[in-house]
Amino acid sequence: MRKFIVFTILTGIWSISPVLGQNPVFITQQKGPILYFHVANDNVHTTADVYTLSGKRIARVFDKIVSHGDYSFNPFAGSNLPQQMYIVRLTNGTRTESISMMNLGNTSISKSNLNPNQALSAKLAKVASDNKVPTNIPGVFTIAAPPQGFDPVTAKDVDLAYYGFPPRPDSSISPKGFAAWKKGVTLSKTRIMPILKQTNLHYSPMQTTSPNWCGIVAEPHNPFTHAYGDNGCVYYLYGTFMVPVAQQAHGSCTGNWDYGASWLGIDGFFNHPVDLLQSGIAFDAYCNGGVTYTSYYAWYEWVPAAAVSIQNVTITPGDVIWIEVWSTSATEGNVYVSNANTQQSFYIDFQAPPGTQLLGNSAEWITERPLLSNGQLATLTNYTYVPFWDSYVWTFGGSTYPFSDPYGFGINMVDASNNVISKQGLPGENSVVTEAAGPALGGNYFYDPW
Amino acid sequence: MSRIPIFSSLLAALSLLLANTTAQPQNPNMVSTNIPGVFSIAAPPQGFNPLTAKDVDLAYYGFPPRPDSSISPKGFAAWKRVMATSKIRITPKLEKTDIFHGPFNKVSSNDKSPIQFTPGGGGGSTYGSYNWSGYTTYSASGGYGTNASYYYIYATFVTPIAQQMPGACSGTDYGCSWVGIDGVYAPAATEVLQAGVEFDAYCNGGVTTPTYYAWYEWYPGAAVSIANFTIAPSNGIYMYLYPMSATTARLFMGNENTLQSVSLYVPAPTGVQWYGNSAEFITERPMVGGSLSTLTDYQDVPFWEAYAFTYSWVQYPLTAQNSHNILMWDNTCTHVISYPILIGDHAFFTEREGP
Repeated sequence: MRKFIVFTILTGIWSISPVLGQNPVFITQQKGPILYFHVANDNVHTTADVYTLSGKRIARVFDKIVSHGDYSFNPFAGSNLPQQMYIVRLTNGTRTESISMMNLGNTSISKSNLNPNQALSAKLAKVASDNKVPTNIPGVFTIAAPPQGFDPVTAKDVDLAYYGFPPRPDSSISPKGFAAWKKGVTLSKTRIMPILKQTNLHYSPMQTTSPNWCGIVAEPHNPFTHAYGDNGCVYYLYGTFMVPVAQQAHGSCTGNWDYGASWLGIDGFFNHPVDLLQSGIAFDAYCNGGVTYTSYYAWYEWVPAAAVSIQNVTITPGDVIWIEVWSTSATEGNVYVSNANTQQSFYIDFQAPPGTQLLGNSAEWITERPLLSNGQLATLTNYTYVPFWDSYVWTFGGSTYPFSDPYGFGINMVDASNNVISKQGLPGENSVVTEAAGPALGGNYFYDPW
Repeated sequence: MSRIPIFSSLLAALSLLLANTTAQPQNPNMVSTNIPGVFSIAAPPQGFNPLTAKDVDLAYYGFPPRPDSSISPKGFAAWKRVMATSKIRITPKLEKTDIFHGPFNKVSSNDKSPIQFTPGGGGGSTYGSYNWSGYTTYSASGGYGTNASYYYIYATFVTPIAQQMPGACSGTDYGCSWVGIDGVYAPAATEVLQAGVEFDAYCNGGVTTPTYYAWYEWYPGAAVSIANFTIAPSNGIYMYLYPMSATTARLFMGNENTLQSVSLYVPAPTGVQWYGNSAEFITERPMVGGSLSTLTDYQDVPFWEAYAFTYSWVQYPLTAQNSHNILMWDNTCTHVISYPILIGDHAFFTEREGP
């Protein structure tokens, strides 16, 4: 061991120097003052302690529940320890490894892969799991109402998670974004225990041009260079929209159902990977003999699985809906949906379909026509308008970014003949208005301005 | 057939000329309503296309003026959509109400000093009010017809669900959203021309009965409702206001879900003239029986495509220094009960706040 220390000091190469433990598999490398390690499993309680070379423990420098991924930290950051050699001991679940490191003083870390929000989200997932209740679909969970007087605005992060509330954004970074979240989590007085029903509708990733999506996609910088949980990746998004009136195109009464939905989701825009975590409101219209029947319901979905509807939550035109979608790992999704008019809300925790992993390289607010069970695109409901407002996306790094270029992509929807059937407009940084157009509105019925 | 538009163009031009010189506009296409002095405009002939029609024909058939697309492409696009979807011109059945949507009832510094609650955003300072919430934009009008006078205002908004506050169930709560001219600054502070949608909620024995209707009002006159114009929650509504003369306003309103539209000539109350030094987009609680009503728990009303043009086609965004966001306070000036949140240059939403 002494030889090794001499060697590293002489050459300036800081490499792995396990002095305790049998299998040095999770400390991956050391560069300068930064220690890197890998965690293979989720929800692993990980600690790091600094020891003198004589084996006396001086300080605990890392204490977090983390999910699988790569982490790094400076064990001596912020400490006033003398600049000399120490032993840093990592305990990761049942395994312990140690490494000898020189304290280089208060070296600032310009960029760290250690992501506080990712670590926090994993911790919160563990906390929430203690309060989860199974639903009528295996593997899908919900959480009951918090106790009387519980205030989600002032509650601790762990209590928010325990009671099925979405993570809280930083008010200092975006006061308006925080105010929107605050409004969203305080709307509801009645937590619904959802009764779920599997549908055969698929709200799908965006097809190019696009025949199925209309709305706004916000993407982080360099959407192709991130891994799940990186600072630049989408952690959560939320927004408010108003449920439209479902009707068929003016002048039409087809004897069939038209379909439409507005939703918020993560991924599904860039081709790789083809996953999409989403939750929204469906507004479908059937017309026969001049009489229109409508269907409104809330749903969630993780592509490539089909949508699951919530049977016991009331949705009607004009309802103001607040939705937040977030992940607690690459394979665990969460949605919180609140209806301002009925004051009902629900929380759902669900797993990715087998083989699917979230990446978090896009966030979107979309009005869509789904794929029916026969694989065909539905006829879009004439929904007139769906305005979205108070719409924010937050990254694991704790930042939020607006819809304006280069982060936002406005998308119009077209039919098979390339007519625009749904258009989007951006009235501001955190708002998008989608509107039925052309044949979906009843273009042939009008002096068609499109 | 080809001569008819020319003929009608001449008539329209003539009627415009007449309108500028007479208090009572004359237009062969005008239809009397059940209120004397108020006229509607009949539907245009089959095949009339307002998108390609001449300006005089637009006016003749009761459509609002074509905005200059070079000055405001988005404002023009909004107008185009309205032209296309205003398919069903109705002959209005008018009903006088005893509801007054008054001018800006300002919270004075004695009532609340200083105003600390500023969620709205926008270029100018925040105003407090007992009855209004939304945005008002000032222009240094020298009176009707002057370059800086507001000439044309319009917006799109969505009708909310009318209900009472959670746990409340008594009497009727009132609320409405509208676009309007004047009503804030002298010498036009005591008059206001408005066109809007009412969303009131009556509750008794735990059962809520909402009422939705479209109305216009030229204060100090009372609101006049349009009884046969259908309004339901989440209907997309547009309102266009512009003058025919200093004492006659033109109003074009429509519902994009039902495709119904109405075109009206509305005379000013005695002694009142269009002045045009403010244009506003407001969610209000009206005066009922001489008192401020309780505001409906309406959640949110999003406004977008909110434009106001002066005679010289100047338009100010909501982010301009002369645009002011307005917070509505309760009667004791203790709580803000409705306020706007800026979305962008021409969009915002108003939001109900307890109690």
